[in-house]
Amino acid sequence: MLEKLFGNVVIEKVLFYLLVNQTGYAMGLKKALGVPLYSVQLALNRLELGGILVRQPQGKTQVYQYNPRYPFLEELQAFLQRAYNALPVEMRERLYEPRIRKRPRRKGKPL
Amino acid sequence: MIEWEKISLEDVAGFLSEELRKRGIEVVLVGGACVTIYSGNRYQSYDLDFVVYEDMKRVKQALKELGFHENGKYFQHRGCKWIVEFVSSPVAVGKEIIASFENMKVATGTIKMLRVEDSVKDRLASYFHWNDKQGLDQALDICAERSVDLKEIESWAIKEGFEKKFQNFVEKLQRL
Repeated sequence: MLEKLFGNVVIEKVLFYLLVNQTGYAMGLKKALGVPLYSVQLALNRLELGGILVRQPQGKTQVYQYNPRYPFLEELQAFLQRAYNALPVEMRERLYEPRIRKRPRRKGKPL
Repeated sequence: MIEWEKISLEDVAGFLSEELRKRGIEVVLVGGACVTIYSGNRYQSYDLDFVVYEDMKRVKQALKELGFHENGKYFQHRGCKWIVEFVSSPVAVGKEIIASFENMKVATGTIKMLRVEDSVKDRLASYFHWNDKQGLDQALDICAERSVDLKEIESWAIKEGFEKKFQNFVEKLQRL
């Protein structure tokens, strides 16, 4: 939808994913979005260089999120939210809102 | 003749600002280097972050002419310990876009840089958003050395939504 504006579709997908899920890492984005890892890494690198995303190491994983200090963050997210709301529900659920458990699970719990 | 092994951070900033200006490229010094300058070296940064609005191809060509080599995201001059980086525009502290700057004269030229209040805001933004204690300490380092308009910083902090953390900063400032 916004790929012409952003220059490529992976940037759009990464931005939508982080808008909905707050954080993400390269391999997780690859799996969720169904795009090559290298394309995800290029997109993350480009967005980080632009100051739009920041990353923080969590163990061996680099976790990305929107940069709260990006001066146009509110406007960008409002714009993305409008575009996101225009996506078909099926696509939103498949790519960005998969029904996977995210709440904590106590260690050793059988189910 | 510049002695690159001995040159100070301020003089690198002045040299680059002046030489790039001569080539029609205006840069603004931001980040930790401003803290080093305003805090009288209480905090020592080893890199110089500049914001530039020009095409980076022109900047890279100019830096090459000045003897700087590119190393990943950084530029460095042979024998010089300071690292130069160009960060994304615009110049901003939080949501506030900066349009007014300090022009500081040093031996090698005039540095266009964040005003002292904006440098404090820049460091406080790290503390506000990331709970970065180093950012808080650096903001305090500047205030220990310079006269700062706290009213201006307070109204910015309120707009950013961090009044409580600003109060914490003020309490620490009063204990200096």
